Amino acid sequence: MLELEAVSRAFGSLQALDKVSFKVQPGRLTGFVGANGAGKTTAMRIAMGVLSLDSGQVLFDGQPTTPQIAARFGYMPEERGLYPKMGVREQLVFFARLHGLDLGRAQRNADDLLERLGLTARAADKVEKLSLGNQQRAQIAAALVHDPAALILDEPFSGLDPMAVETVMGVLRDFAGRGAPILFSSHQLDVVERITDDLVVIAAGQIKASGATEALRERYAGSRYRLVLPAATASAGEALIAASPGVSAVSVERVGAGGGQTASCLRVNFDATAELAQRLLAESLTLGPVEEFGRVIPPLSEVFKEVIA
Amino acid sequence: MSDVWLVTEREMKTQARSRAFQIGTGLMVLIAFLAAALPGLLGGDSDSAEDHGTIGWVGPPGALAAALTGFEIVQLSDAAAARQAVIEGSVDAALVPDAEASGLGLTILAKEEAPDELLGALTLTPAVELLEPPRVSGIFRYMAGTVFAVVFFMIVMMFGQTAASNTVVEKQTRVIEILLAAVPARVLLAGKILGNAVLALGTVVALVLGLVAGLWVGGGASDLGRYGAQVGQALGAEGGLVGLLAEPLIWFAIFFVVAFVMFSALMAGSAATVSRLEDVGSVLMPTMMLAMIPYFLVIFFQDNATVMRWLSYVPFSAPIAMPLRIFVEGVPWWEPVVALAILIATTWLAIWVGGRLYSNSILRTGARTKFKDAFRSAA
Repeated sequence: MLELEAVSRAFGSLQALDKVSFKVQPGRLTGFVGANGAGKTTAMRIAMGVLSLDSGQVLFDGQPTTPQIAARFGYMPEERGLYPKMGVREQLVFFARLHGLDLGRAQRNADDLLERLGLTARAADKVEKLSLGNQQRAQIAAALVHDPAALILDEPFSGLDPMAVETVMGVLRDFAGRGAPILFSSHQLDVVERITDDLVVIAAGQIKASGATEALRERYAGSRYRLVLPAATASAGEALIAASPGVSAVSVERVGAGGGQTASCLRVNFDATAELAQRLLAESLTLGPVEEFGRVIPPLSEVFKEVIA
Repeated sequence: MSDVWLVTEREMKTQARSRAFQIGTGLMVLIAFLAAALPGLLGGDSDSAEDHGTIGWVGPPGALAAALTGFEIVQLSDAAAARQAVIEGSVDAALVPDAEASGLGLTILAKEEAPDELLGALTLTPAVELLEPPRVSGIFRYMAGTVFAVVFFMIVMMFGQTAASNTVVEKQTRVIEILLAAVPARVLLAGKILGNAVLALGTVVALVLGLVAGLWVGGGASDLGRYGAQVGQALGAEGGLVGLLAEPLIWFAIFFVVAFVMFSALMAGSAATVSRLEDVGSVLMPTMMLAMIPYFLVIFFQDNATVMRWLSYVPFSAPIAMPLRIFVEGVPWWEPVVALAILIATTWLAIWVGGRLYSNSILRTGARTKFKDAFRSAA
């Protein structure tokens, strides 16, 4: 497990990180989200040991990290960096050996990753000859090539096309399956939503929320419900909601069935306590069948907005 | 240590594979070869040929004519015919009896300038004995001084700048963060310096081989050529010039490697304070000055024994001045040892300073880090 404990760091008068604490569990993909300048990159660089901290500590499996321990981590920096005039495979082998792998294992790992990331055909090419997307894949390979004990990836999905995003997600999932903790930052919340097990939200150098992604969404889901009634009972339903105390409709829509038909169903979003919502559901059922009823779990982007607000 | 070697290996491989390096080094060796060979090849037959020209002779050839070896003697009838032959060019010069002339009683007729070789052949020169002959005559001394200085300066600048610009490239392309995630900054710096030192020494060896080969090929007429022939022979045989050349060359190699480490540590350290290749030139200026001033001092003062003695102990000029003194005058064994000790101590200091600059500024991107700040604070 990778753990930041009350880590603070200032750049001049700017407090980039203020007592930041969070955990990255082994075998779990932890998404790290926050606005630009919130402190994600600073926190990741400190976790990697390429930046020093003012106070606090970084722990790996309960031990404070040393350069020797951090050397076993895999890292993808915010600003991409590979030797532009060096071959892709040669470069991966070099990085793997720099992390202490022997030549044979370094070569096997490099070939394996190139294959999985679809770069085998470009293995001998210089990095500068690759497209940006392929450079990005090579960068991910460079972070993974030495069988790291933990992974810290700064924006691994930026600049990738949807296919490549899938590929990289697959590689990261497999890697998490081996039991290593993975921390990655991203602005693509739809991607984060699909892939993360845990989430850490940072704003202005402070951790605003952290924990299992589903639990966070649940917590911020609030008391919004959604009810859809068929055309036959639409008008009656509308009247029912207007007459129910404690139920405040957020949106009431008549959704056409299409094809020029006048008949249309009723779709209502409303805020209410769980008890009142259940009562409304029961009353609706007395009118006729209910097409849809449930709590509205907001997309991550809304949770994010609410958390950092 | 194996990490240092990995970095060294990468540095050398990338460099050796770059077209610019291959062409640059090839050109330098070629120029060294030609510079050494051409004076010998082109220096002409002026004093090499046994045939010194054709001489017109009026009157019966006596003992004097027989003594003029290397000249072709042509019998001419009288002074008028001799005059004619010289003007026509059928003879290079003519000797005509002249009752009024003192000495030999001869006048030499020549067309445009006095025939030096004939005059020389007719002149009596007493033998000269030098009581304190220099080990090396003037032209070789000058040549050796220039070669040591030029080779040292050029190679240190070239590879020092390579180490510096590779440092900035790693910073600019951000590959440095990945590298630092794997190994400490001082390992990177050490590998970089070592890799370039090996390449630099290799280039020096190639240059020296080019020079020697050039001297050998050009061996023959001119002073340089004759020297080359001697070197060639000496390298083929034993003793002689080998002894004279080997000692300064070996010392040069030792001083060179240490001084290279000193300069490139400072250069790489300075370069780490900037983030763009365009800015490298200005931050290297202080180190360049340290290399350039001694270089010119040695070139200008190589005839001044006192200045040279001082320069041979100053660490920045010792790599040029000490081997030169060993070559020219020969020095007691302890002198280069002391100079080397001073150089090593200074190099240790340079590594400390360069390493500090490097470690403290290698991750600071953006504006140039001031030397003062980079030296003081931890990143």
